[in-house]
Amino acid sequence: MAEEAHAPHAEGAHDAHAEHGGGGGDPMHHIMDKVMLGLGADGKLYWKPYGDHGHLEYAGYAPQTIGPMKLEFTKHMTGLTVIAFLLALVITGIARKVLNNVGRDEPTRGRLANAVEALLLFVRDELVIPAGGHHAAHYTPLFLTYFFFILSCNLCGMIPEFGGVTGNSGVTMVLGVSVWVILTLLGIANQGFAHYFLHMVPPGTPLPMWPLMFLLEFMGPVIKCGVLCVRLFANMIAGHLVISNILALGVVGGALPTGIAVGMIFVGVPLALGISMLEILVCFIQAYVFTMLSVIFVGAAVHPEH
Amino acid sequence: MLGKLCVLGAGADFLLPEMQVLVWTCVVFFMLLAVLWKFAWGPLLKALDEREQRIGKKIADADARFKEAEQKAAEYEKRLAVAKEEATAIIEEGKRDAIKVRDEIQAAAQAEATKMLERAKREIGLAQEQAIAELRNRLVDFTAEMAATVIEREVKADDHRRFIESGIEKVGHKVQ
Repeated sequence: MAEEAHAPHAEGAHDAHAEHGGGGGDPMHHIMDKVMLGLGADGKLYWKPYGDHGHLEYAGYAPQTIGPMKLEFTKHMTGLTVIAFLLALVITGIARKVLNNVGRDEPTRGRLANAVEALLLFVRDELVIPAGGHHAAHYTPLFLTYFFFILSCNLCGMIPEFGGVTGNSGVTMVLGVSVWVILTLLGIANQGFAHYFLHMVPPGTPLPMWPLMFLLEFMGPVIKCGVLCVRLFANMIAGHLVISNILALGVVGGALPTGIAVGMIFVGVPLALGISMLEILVCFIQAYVFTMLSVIFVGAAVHPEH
Repeated sequence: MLGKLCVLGAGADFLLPEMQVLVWTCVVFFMLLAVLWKFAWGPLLKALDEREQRIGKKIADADARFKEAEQKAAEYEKRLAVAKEEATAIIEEGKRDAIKVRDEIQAAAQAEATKMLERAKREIGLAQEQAIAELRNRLVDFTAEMAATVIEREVKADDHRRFIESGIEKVGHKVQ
């Protein structure tokens, strides 16, 4: 990466930076994913090949690809990895502690352990069992993972410059599709392959309508999981957009007379603070909504009578 | 300038998922799921279930013991009530017996007193009669002596006696 640091900037990058001049700017680059490390087609590693503002820094850079996949490691991928690593570490640690306490027949000690236990019981007793019934309760660990992972990603997105992981359509798409894959697999495992697909169509459907009904019923969970993905993505990115745009008022104001620009900062910061508070609420709500809906979908697939 | 604030103005490419993000998220998420399921959620849920059952059993045990205790308390209360009743009965009986004994003693004392009084009266009467008889005897003797002296002739003592006694009889009736 160091040897590339002096590489001439691409033309487009220069133009973009010229537009950036004067302190004005587009806040989008704070929200969008950023390539941290890229493996170039030339076999060299590039550190932030697109720079902090999303404009190509190296004229010669073109990412190495495997099929449609670029060999780049992005900010959201980093955040995601850090969150997953910390979650695995913290929660297994807490689990050991709680197990220790439970084994000795004493109450759970420690604030974090109690908080995790409370959330765990909340997910199991208020979400999984009421929404999915006891059949879905076997898969409580799945929903717990969704809940804790999404909640952590959402909340970490509120840390400036951490990057809103759930504000990345790729991440939420994986989450949404994983729900569909899991519910299909669990449906087949619980009902049997033929039974699962044949019983998608309600009994008593006229034969000519059968293919259409099958298609509709098959598409139902697909669409539902797609909506799951879009809902999380849209909610999380919308908050980030609003906050960054409000904060950008002062930056944009750089082109305006100084008084107005300073005034805009005084308006923008408190407003962004207020929206941030609201966003923290949204972080919890979206984690809750995603988990609850996935419980309902999985519950319906595992045991359709409910 | 403000146009730049418009989201879509910056390009909608952030809406499209990147393949490398998809693959990486998939890998990380499923690894996390596996790790947490195996080492955290699975054992935790099992342990919490066990704890729930243990607590439930403890509560049930406590309930059973409470019921047992209540039953015992009721039983003891009943026994206590019976004992109280018995005690009251015993006291009543004792009182009754005491009153009876008192009455008997009183009656006996009364009877004894009456008897003593009667005897005393009788003794007094006897003594009186004895005294009178003695007095009469003396009087008879005395009078006989006096009469012999007065008339100076010997009368047969028995005649005298008969005569005086009849006289005294008359006098005695008057005295009495």
